[in-house]
Amino acid sequence: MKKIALYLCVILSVAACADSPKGNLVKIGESVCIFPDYSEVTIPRNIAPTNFVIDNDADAYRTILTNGDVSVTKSGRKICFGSKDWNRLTNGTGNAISVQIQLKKGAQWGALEPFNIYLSDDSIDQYITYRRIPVAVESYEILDMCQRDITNFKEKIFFSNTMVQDNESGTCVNCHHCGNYSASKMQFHVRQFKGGTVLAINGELRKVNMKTDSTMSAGVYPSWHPTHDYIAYSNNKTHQSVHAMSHDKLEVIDEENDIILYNINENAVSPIETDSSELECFPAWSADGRTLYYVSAHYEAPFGPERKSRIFLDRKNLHFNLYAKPFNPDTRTWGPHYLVYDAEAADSSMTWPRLSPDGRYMMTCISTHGIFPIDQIASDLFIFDFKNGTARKATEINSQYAESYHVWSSNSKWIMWSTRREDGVHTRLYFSHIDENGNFSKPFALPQKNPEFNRTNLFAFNIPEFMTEPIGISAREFAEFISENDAVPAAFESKRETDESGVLITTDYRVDGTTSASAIGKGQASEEMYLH
Amino acid sequence: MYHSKPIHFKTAIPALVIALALWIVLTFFQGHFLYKNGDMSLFLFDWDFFKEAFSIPGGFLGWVGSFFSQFLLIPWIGALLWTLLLLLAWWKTVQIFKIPDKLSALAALPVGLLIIANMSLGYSIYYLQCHDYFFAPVIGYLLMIGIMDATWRLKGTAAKIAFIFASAFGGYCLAGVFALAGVIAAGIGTAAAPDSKDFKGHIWERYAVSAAAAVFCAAVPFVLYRLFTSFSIADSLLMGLPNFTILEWAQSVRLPYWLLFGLTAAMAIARPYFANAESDGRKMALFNPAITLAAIIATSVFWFKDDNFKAEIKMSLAAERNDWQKVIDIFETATAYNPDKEEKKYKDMAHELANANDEETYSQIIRIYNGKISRPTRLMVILRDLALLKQGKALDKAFAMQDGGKKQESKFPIVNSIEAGQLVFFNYGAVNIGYHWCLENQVLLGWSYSSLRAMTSYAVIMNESEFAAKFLDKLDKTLFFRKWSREQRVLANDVQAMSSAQPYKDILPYMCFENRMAEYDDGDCEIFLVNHFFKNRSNWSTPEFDRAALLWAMRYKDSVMFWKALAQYFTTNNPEHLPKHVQEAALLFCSIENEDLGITFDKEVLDGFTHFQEYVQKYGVNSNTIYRLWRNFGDTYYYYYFVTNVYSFKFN
Repeated sequence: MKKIALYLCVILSVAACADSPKGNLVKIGESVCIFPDYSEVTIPRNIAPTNFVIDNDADAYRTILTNGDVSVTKSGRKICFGSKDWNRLTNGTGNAISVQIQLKKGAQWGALEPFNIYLSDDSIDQYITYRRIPVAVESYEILDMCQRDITNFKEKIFFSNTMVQDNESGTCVNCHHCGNYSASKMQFHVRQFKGGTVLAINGELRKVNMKTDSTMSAGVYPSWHPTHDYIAYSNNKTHQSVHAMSHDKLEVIDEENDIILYNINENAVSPIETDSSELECFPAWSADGRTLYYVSAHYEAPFGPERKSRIFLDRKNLHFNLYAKPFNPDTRTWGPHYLVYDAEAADSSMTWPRLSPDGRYMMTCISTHGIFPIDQIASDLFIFDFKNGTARKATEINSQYAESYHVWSSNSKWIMWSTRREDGVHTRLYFSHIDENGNFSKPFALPQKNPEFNRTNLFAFNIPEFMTEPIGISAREFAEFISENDAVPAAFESKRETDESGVLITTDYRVDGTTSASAIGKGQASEEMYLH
Repeated sequence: MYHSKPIHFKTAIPALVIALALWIVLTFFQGHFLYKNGDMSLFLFDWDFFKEAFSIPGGFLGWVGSFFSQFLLIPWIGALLWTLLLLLAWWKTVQIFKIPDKLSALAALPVGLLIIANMSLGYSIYYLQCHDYFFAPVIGYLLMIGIMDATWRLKGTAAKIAFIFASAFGGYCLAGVFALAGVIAAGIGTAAAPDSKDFKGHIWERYAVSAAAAVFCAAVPFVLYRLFTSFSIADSLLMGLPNFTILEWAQSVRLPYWLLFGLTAAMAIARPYFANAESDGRKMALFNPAITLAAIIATSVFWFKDDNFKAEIKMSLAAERNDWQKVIDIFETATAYNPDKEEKKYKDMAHELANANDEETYSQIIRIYNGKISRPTRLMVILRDLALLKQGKALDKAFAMQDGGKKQESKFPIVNSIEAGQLVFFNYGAVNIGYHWCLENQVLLGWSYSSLRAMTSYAVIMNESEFAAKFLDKLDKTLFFRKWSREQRVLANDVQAMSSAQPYKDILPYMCFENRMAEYDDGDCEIFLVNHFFKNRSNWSTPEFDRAALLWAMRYKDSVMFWKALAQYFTTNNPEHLPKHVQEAALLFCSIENEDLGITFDKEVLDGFTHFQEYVQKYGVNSNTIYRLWRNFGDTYYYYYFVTNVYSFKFN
């Protein structure tokens, strides 16, 4: 036995020496080709190992990673780190990991230009959630909602539609979202079979039907209020259709949109914006919860069976602008909305506003038209810096393909978003760091144990969310709750809003869609005015 | 000591002969079906693919089944492997259940059920959600009787219970309900072995083993259901069995498996009595031949037989290989008819229709004869027209060949977009629509060699090389499509090379249309294509596109469309001589609209049309005259226009 071990040591040593460069290395002129591209990116020190694969052609590979006095050497095309090595590298004395790739071509070893992986002291939230979904238009046999610990590679499915649906009765799950990055305030929608909006608040589960006689649909895109027990939702009548000839494969359009407020404690919804000539969508709270941002496009067409085909024909004229609407969360009173960004004037469409928790930034998608950025190659990320008063395309992180579903980390230092930059079709999760001046670092892909994961996996990953804690409810608990409980209907509350002169008006909606408004009076309203 | 029963060569001869016959039938008469099954499966030599198998109970069985299924792409090898596995199943059944030679045909019953389960599939393969369907059940059955065998071989109650526990939990994870069925049958067999030499335990020990089997089998799904997130508790007893997107279909297709489990349990009970039957030779002399014959007849009855199903598959496969002449040849062979027999059918129909007292009876007769009179399915016509277009012969020949819309021999209607949408749309240049159908199918049914190749082709022709790489990387890990993948990778990165390579070269001319949002077409290729050729017109066009547009205008029998398409056809094709069907259509529409557009018609066409008008005026178009009308004018556009009624939809 000892002899075998000795022989093995000798053989391995010889093999190692045979594949190690000796003397000075020649400089190889070709550029570094690694996947995912982690060259010159900035990563948080607490992120999982950025495993990568070298795409430069060679007969043998050797990669030396150094950070201060820490050095790790790897051989082979696939560079995968154990947690010990990775912790040493990320906790080294320097602010960057220098990576030198050496290639053996024929008998000659050479070195590529070294690159850095910069280390940021701004940590990133430990967990993210996302929906793993097959790329398709109509079918959804397998939809998994996952939570990933991004400080390592552990992924947990916290709900899957396969646990509830049967052959004939499909279940779609979507729009998972949490309040204040907490697992004790989360929600997602279950559509069709056993449908309802599932809320998990402090471990208690609730399934709600937010479709009332006065609202056009159940809640769709959510935004959890940062300080009070409210969730703003859009109402959507969504349709999708396939492009017959385009690199954009799919067009998703809402025939109608409204925005509603769900009062968690009262289990009641009330309207926020319901103008029939406006398509209001994507509500997003400001950090203090006193302003609701949303997007809206003006669209007038008769309601009826023809409206759907009409709106598809008019799709290129749908330009969504960004609006804000003041809100007093204590009195649940709204102020009049106002225009924040006129995208239509620039012949573009702005969607998906998301505000940083520190209140400094807002990021949106900007595209040529329409409401569904993920399916538009032209969709880019757009950043508002309220501190500097600037608004610009985030060109340093945009790609030639669609960018969408961005979200801020809880310390407002990182953004994560879904991008199709790798192949134009499959959405992948990328991150970027934002510095004090509002500049983004080079985007990097969510690290995977198998660095070729993004290349080989045929699912898409969308609606990413940061979370600071693990989800305590198991997938089975969710599944059993959803299967065994009917959705509780939400009640309807009247809308309380002040007009531009400060008069408080409450509006009730009737089943037939008409409204009745009553003015309460300016004096009375002023006490309940929102602060703006 | 437990002994397996030895099998005498004499006993094995009938089984070997039947196996050989089965292999011949499969290879030479069902090769297309085997290939289709193989093409709808997927096995990757890839660690992730292997790991994925463990995400669902029974997944490992599927993985093994998929491994074998890839050999169906070479039908004679696939058939050989399947036949050998069936033979092994027969042999092990005889051995494990100790079936005496005189009763050895009993072992053919589970094998017969396994054959029926595969060969009765027919159109349901288009809704089959498993990659492994062909081989997994026979491997599952072998595992099932293997568990029984091992349980019975083990000595001691504790060892048996421990093995049953491991088989129930481990087996369920690997092979789903096949393992549970094996455990249950092992328990039943143990309890029902009063004079077993294998297990000399007390009666309470035997019942303890049986009770353990029952308890573990009941507990396993409920316990493991909590570990997996890939199925609902309602589906826990279906893991490892084939699944279909249509519930009723799944239930009927799974029936052979329930019978198989029941039969195996029954044989486990009967096992101790088989020994007595051995000595009673004379009474059992006819048993084997009778059972064998019954099994063959049952298998034959349930074996799916439909010429159009066969033709559709063969035509699709030929079209995928760009062998358009073969597509036409298969169509012609499949729709060949004996004129005398055909006339008799028409006469019988006319006779029955004349005696029909009410509309319901009348419709029923039409339905019955629609199934009897040789007619192609719409998909066959679509593929044939496509082949004729590719050969530039469509406007001369499309209406001269058989037409119609025979209903598929299927329990549930199957839209032709599911069957061949990805192929048809791609070849008409509607690449995104093919992409859409391919994606929907893969979500419902899972990825397959076929869908990976289709997705690659869509990406290559759209110059989406990074997207194509996604699928090429997968195909690189297959056994039979590596070479294809290498070739396509070159084309994906070289637009020039792609545009001069088949099939892209012939498809690119059809991609000269404006982008438009596809309208809901109910999964019918023809609805989409009629709309496509008239709504997506761009400022420029190609001769190929305009020939297709003209054909679809004629197919839809719309004169407005026809005149527009004809004008466009003149512009791009600049024909010296109008094709026969175009002349017939122009003559017909001129006649209907009382117009003279100055088109020069061939004498033959003019005479034919005059003859047709006279004939119709004299005899009319009714059930008595239809056959003669078809015989005399069945190769003309005006016959198609007046008689052939294939479209129930309205053009939007």
